[in-house]
Amino acid sequence: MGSMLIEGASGPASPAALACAREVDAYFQSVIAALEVVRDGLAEVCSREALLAADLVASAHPLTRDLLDGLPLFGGGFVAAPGFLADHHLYLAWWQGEEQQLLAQSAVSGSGDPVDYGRVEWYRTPVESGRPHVTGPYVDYVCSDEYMLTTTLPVEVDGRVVGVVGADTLLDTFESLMLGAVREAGATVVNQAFRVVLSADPRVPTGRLVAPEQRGALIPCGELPLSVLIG
Amino acid sequence: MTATSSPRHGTRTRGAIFAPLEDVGRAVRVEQRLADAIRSGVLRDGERLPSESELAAMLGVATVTAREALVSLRAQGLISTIRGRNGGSYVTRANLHDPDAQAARLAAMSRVELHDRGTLHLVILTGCAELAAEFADGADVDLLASLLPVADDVDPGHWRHADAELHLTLAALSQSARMTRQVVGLEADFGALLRQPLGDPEFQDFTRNCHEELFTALRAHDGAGARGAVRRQLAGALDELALLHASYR
Repeated sequence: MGSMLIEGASGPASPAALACAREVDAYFQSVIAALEVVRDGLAEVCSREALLAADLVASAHPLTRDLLDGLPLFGGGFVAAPGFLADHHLYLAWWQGEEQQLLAQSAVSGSGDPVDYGRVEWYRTPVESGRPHVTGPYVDYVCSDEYMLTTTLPVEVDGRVVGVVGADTLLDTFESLMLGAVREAGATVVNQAFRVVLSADPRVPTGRLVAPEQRGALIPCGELPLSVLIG
Repeated sequence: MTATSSPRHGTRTRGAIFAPLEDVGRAVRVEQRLADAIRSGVLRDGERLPSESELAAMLGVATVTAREALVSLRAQGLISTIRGRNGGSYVTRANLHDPDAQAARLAAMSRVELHDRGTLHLVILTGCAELAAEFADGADVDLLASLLPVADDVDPGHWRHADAELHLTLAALSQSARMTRQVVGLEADFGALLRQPLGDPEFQDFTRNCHEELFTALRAHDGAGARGAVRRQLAGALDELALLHASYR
């Protein structure tokens, strides 16, 4: 059984379900707006020839500090397109955790070699679509080793993608922000793969895939790759 | 059951919980923390570690405990100590990729220890595979499959990196951050040794074959099949490692 897409207030969507979709959208729109500030703030440094990691960090750090101070985020920053920086093929100007530690480079445990993030969803999807994207729920072993929803936007300079700006929201945080609205709606927030982000049903854990036969009607959360599943 | 009967149960467990933290245990924890940081690259090759007393103060342990941890890291070839005016302990991460250092580490293990480590690795990763079969979608499996080296690539470094990242990704598909961190720790501790057999192109073929079996099972949401594929691969690697180990002793 396919799922039905509900636009606006028609059909069986309750006001609570619509409000839930709006609330999810509003949260991520606030993250996206804050990331646009970081992206725009980086435009000058990213247009320099043969940019060095240290110069990128110097520009990105205050922007990221403001980003992390303003929203309940676990981490955030700028991830360079592979080969963009002159002195590092892969580089993450990314700050995270309570002490806002700089990540810089991420290695695969067991081999010690750097993680090529070019193929992971939070990097690839916004770069390919040119639009904001929310990845997850997923366990992020590149940056945080935490269960995460990652919002990323492409950064382009003169039509060339030089990296992405992003921000991490812990699933714990999302749960505490949205559980009220989700319960009120008696609904389940899912991503585009029908993976559960948060469900009103306490027996349905975050991360589970909703089986095709259990997919009811969907209320899209704005333009995000997230929806509220009802019925 | 009444409240008074409960102390009978798990007395030993309760005793262990409230026992003072032994400095012996602390040395192991200090060692593991530093070893993880070195193997994962957080502490860089050639970086100077704080002195024994600085380390002790930073970590809140006795100086003798810090010293014990450093002795063990030295024995594993992860740090080297230089005496004199510019002396101190330096990270020697290059040894991670040095076959001689890995051989020395393997040779220093008993057969029992090797089996012990292998068992933990096997149980956790087969469990991850079973859960991943439930949770993975098509795109997840595509990402896993993209990690495998291309058909004619026999570079041992590529294979070891790919296999390590594959196992981490598989762990992440369990959707459990704690599980993933467990595997990160296991990989830092045992991954480099476990992947010694990947220098052999024949073993690379075997590994490719097992991984492809895993991808098929994951796509079919077949938990038992996924578990079996990872078990076959790890059992094969552990057998090869046991033979290598025997040749050193």
